[in-house]
Amino acid sequence: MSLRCQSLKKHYGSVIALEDASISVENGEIRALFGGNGSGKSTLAKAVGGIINRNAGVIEIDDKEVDFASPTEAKAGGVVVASQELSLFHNLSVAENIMACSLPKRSGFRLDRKAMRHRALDVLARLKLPQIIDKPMRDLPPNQRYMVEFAKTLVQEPKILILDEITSALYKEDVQIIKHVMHELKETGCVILFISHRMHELFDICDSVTIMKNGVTLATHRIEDTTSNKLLSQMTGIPIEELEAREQSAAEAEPDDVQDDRKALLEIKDMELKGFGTKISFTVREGDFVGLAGLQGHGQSDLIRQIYGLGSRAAYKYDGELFVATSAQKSAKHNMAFLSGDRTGESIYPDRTITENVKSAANLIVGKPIRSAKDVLDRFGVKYNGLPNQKITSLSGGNQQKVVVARWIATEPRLLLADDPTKGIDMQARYDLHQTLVDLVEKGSGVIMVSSDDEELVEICSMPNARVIILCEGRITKVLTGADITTENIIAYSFA
Amino acid sequence: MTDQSVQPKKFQLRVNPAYQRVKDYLPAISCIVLLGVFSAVLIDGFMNINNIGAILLQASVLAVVAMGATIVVIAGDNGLDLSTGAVIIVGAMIGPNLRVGGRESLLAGFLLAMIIGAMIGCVNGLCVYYLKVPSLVMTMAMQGFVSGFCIFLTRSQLTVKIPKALASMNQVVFGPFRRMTLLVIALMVVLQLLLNRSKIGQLLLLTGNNREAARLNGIPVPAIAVGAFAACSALAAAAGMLLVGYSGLVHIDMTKDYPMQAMAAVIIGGTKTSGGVGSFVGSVMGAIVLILLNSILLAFNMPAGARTFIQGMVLLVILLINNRSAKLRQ
Amino acid sequence: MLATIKKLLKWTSLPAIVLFVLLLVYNAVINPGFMKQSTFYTFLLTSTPTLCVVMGVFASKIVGGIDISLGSLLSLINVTLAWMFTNTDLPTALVLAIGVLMGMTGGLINGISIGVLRVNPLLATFASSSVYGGLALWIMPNPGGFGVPQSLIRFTNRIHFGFIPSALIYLMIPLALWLIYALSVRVVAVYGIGGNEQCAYISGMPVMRIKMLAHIFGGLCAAVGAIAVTGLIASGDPTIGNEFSLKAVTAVVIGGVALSGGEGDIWGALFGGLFLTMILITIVSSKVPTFAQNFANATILFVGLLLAVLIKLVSEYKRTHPRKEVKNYD
Repeated sequence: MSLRCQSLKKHYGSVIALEDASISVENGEIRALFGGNGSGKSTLAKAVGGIINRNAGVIEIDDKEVDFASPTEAKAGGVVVASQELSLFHNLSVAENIMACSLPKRSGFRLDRKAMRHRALDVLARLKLPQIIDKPMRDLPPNQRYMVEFAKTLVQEPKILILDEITSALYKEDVQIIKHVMHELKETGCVILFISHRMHELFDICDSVTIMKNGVTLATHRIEDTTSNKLLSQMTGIPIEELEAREQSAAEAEPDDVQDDRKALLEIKDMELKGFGTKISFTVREGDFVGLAGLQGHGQSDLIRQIYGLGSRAAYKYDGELFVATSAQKSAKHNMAFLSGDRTGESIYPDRTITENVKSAANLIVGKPIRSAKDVLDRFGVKYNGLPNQKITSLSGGNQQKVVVARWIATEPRLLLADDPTKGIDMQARYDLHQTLVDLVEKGSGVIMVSSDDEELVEICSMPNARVIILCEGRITKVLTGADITTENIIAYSFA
Repeated sequence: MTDQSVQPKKFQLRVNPAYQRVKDYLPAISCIVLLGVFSAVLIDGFMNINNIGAILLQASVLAVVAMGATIVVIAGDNGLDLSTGAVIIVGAMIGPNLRVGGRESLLAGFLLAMIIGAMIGCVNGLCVYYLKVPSLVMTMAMQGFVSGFCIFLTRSQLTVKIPKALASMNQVVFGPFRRMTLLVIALMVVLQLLLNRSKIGQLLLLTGNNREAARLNGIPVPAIAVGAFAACSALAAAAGMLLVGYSGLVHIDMTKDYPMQAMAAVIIGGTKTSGGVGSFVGSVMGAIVLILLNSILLAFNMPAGARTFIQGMVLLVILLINNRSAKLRQ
Repeated sequence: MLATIKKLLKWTSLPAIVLFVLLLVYNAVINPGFMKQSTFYTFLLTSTPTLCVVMGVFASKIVGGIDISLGSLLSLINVTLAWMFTNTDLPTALVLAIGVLMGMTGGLINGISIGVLRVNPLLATFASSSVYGGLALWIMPNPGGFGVPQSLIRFTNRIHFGFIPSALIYLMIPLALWLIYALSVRVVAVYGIGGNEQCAYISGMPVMRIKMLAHIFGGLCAAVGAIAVTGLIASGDPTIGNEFSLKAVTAVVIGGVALSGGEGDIWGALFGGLFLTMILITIVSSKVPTFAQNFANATILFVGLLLAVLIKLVSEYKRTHPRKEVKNYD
């Protein structure tokens, strides 16, 4: 089996996910794809797996060109993908989930439940998890769910196996088991693409590694020819000596020598981050800009949602007083604002007008009514045709997001929490949003912004009183200030 | 590239706010116009003032129920209320006979009926929102419960002495408009203004359109969701009083069809069943369409079954045009 | 042993079975004659049409939709059969076959609106309910069609071999079909589609085809129920099925089938249906006065519904808030 990708290109609207990705993997090779946010590794995996279409480039399997139009076609071609977004059904049993794509039949049409259970049990035994065969899916902890997803891929007897960040939720023992199975597959000639942010896994499991950055495949090395610092150095441009000299200690969120008499806006001390079980502490002062960085899904979004009162209670000091965030309503009334990056799901009211969308927080909840929607919209540079009383969906994505931003800034919040607000919008709109945030901070409010785009954070954090807190697996690994805020540093501390 | 001089006009029409506003009413308006023309041409003497007045009067009661249903539907989450049939009965029982300080008071009657209706609606809303009982099942169970209770109380004999004020609802004021019709039109105008221009109306529309965004916005979603059911039942109770004025007596079985017909009126009127978009004007027009259609079919001596059948077909066609969800993406 | 008991307690159908058994025991105690074969079998026979509709609703709900038109479809088939028996000389078997075909066609229409054209299932079947019900009333405005052949009547009321009632035979037809289908490979897809339609599509499951099949099956259930009812009342009654649809939905909810689909089995639905149909008998046997019967019926239904919902909520809560475990990521 061999896999060859040549000059793959993929863009989502104006966002370029793959610029020029080329890899070549031989029979029985386990290749790691290594890169930070926006490097394109997941996109590459999805393109090979038939989940998304590509805009340009050629994919060859065994020297024959292939063009899969759907995951089903890819599976028929022997390509199976397991990714962080599990494809499991919560209402089906473990055996049914594992065998969902390869259900065994008996006498023509009957589901052979015995064979199904048997084969599921076999593969689970291979993964040292035979005991979960009869457990309901819902009761399985995350690590076991990922093992079930992995089992599902094994049962499909892949010739090309792609594992995209499935080890994040796994314990060390589970990873060893997967490694063992992967090496067994290797013996049969299976080609494996392995994506993980844990560098020691790459060195433990893989034969070779391809470094990716900004949608481009930079270089490929045999694993024995390189070290983790060499990889980071190549990806970030920081000289190896510097990397080797660094200490990665669990950091406090304030540099010790800072004397600051600005008022503390938000004081979080040992707050447990739900879902990760880790404790977080940091302080945001008036005029502070805090960027939350690190690989996506490592607690950044959970943290600000918890602060805003979505989900579980969060207790902390807000403006000097004890505050228990219980609901979005309470937080909004206390002059907090929440800007989500999920436009269609969480931000806009699709059938309502632009005016209604922009007025929805200030006029209805916070009690600081906007008189002229037009003025506000112009202030934020929202481009619309005609009058603002048309449906918001008539605007482009970037403009829609501007409306949402305008909505919240118009409430003059003390604390703005932003969850990847510039996801999927164009450069100009991004720049405008950055300006807005800078203005807000200059007026004395505080901003905590999660971003999966490291370059964006570096740009926006060039102002004074800005810092970047990097989270990895729910823990603060580093706080960067001043000149230390660089994409290279962010990447360096994003990996475990 | 297309010809630039041709493009902008078409684009403008679609973006033109006036067109946007009217677009949702098109099914209802075209139905009314079509039916009106049809009946005027083919049925002798159909289009006389008296007949139209009677149709409008009959539609008034349904319109009030439909306006209540509109609130629940706009509130989102595919909500609907099938208990309005029983609540109408409650309103009919309580309201008309209320005496305040020795005198019959219509206003107090309306208020009391609506308060009791609201309480029933609250229970519906609470169970649907917090206990996650599907609104279809919850309101259906409530319908059985409340109507059973009414039968229990009145031993199936519901004799009502119609207060003079209510009886006068049938009087003609001018042209085809009777007192009750004007009252209902006034109600429609008030509700529509509340929806379009007041804070609470805006909260309702936003909650219905995207409950997640509303929650993040700080909107008190539970209060709105429950309140919608309360308002719906309050209006149903008021409709009960009107029904007494209209028909003189109220029998348990009379109101069985109201919840479904109200839903049909709401759908025809252009309110989106997924929530967040809708209008009271549309629902009233939908009620008129249904009653008008019914009357036309009656004029052709079509039996009850045929009438229901045709109503169902009309609804099906409108659904096929208006109400389809997205395809499963590739 | 403990594990089996624990598993039993988690069975979604358990609340429905418990409710049914409670009522059964109560009935047996206050009315010793109830457990006599003839009484119990009569109860079963009168419940058969409802239970058929329950099975049809179950199928539509399992794949994540709903069907509230089956009661009206049953009425339509019933009056058609009665009419054909009375006014034509066609052989009995042929008439029955036509009935079955009608059922499947009615189901197919629903299946196309919902599966292919992607109209909201509740609204689509709401509309088709009017269409079928209206047609039924049109064909036979008043109960009639007394030409039902003796062979059918006798068969329906018969008890074979001394202990197998025909009711059971009627019920077995859709039940057996479902159980056989549940043995096939497709059953995983059925539950998968109900659980997560997107995931099912990505996994290559034939979503559209299975949804259509679910509705055709529902139509078949309505047909079997119609045949049973025709044999039972020996005539045609256009409104006989009206109550069945919504009752069936309640039964399915009590039976533990998740609103969104993908969970629950047919036994819960059946016992939920039996619980509901038994309520009225219980009330009558308890010598509840006539005027209070509806109320008592509705109250017990309400209580049963709330119990079933609460049990579900509690188990959901327990699942999402498990006892704390120490997490070790290293």
